[in-house]
Amino acid sequence: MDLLIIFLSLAISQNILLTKFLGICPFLGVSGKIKSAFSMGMAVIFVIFSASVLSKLVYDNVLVPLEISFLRTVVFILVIASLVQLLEILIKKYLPQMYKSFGVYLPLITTNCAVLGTAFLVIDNGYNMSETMVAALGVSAGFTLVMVIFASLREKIESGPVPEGFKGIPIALVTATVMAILFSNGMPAVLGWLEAL
Amino acid sequence: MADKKMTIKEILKDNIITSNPIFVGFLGMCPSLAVTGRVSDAFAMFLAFTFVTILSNVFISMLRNVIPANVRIPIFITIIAGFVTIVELLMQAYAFEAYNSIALYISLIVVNCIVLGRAEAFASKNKPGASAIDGLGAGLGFGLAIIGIAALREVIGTGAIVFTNPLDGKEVFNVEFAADYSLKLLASPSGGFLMIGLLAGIINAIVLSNKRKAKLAMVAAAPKPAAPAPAPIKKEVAAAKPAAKAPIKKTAAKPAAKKAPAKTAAKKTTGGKK
Repeated sequence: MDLLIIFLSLAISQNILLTKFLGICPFLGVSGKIKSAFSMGMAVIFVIFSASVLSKLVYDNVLVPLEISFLRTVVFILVIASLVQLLEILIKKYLPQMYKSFGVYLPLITTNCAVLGTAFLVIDNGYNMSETMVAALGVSAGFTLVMVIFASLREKIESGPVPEGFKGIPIALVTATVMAILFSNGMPAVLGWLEAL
Repeated sequence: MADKKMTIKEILKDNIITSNPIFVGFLGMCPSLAVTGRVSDAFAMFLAFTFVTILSNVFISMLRNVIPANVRIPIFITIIAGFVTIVELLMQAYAFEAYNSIALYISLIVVNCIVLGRAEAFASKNKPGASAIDGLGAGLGFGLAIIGIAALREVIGTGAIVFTNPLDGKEVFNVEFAADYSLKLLASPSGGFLMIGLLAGIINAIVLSNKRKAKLAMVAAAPKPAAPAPAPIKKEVAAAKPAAKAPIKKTAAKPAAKKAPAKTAAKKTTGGKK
């Protein structure tokens, strides 16, 4: 039950994109194509999961025993960069179909705030390994959900009567506002209502 | 000496105004949305960011001739990570209150597109002195933008600006505009999106209308048949407007594909720039 709560809260009410603002760059760049948003989401799930698990392993087994936990920023970013590089090589060789569907997003994920942010989050919240895995899945599932919703909204928005100065990123941000309100306040409200039933 | 002074001004102007990383490039959005809830947070972030950017720019510039090109990005990131760790430790030691409210985002400076972007675009190709100025400019551009946004958000959201000294958390000044007033939306994360979206939209609208006025003025001043007209406009626009305006045009011109001839000229200019 605890794990489910972690998953749901990270995916929705504390959605990493809408409440912690991590992962904005790909979010703003997403086109109206739902398929590419979904591919991006899949790549993100993959990377965030492996990066969080690996970072936690390195933190617990290397940084803490050697009392150099203050180096976590440097170490984690190196772990993530190498991991992404390795994943790219492996996937390209053994799962070419998957590689094609990820497209150009995989290497870009290295500098995605969300990946590093999740690694920090897991450490700061003191999760154990299974909680880490669930948290990583929750964060990335939430990320993918928001990306896909936004991609489907994007086309409608762009074809509507948007003032000239707002076209593109500004209107995307305003839409994100509404989504943020829905996600962070709507979810607890729904849960409260369900509980009252 | 006179030459260098001009160059300093140019570097600073480019970073702060013409290619302001937040309002023009929309880079570094993650921390911008997060730390602009309060002016104190934004100020602390500005200091940390500028520290990292200046030092990493200088360091990378000093090493620019020995870093192999094909692994430069990971090396830049590592160098930047080093300075981010230094600033994390310094803040934890001397400015703990300030650090606590934005801890995660200080650490995330390491993946901030602005820092990496300046390293790649400027520090790897220029001398340490100029790179330091560039780092300062980037920091100022970023900092002024986020402090401005934070001021708006804090005033409209809570009716007052409470500025605390980053070094000991004590209140430095407290400017109250309206008592008993709060618009919680703006103080919350959603407000961050809203404020930056609105500001970016307004600034974009102003810039676009200025551009259109300039183009119309040029067309009116040089009455030629339709065919040659786009060419001189293109050259004038390319000469007059700094290259950095291209990002706005790209963002605006892309979805606004079916607009007036002015937009076609903008698209042509963007194409010409590539």
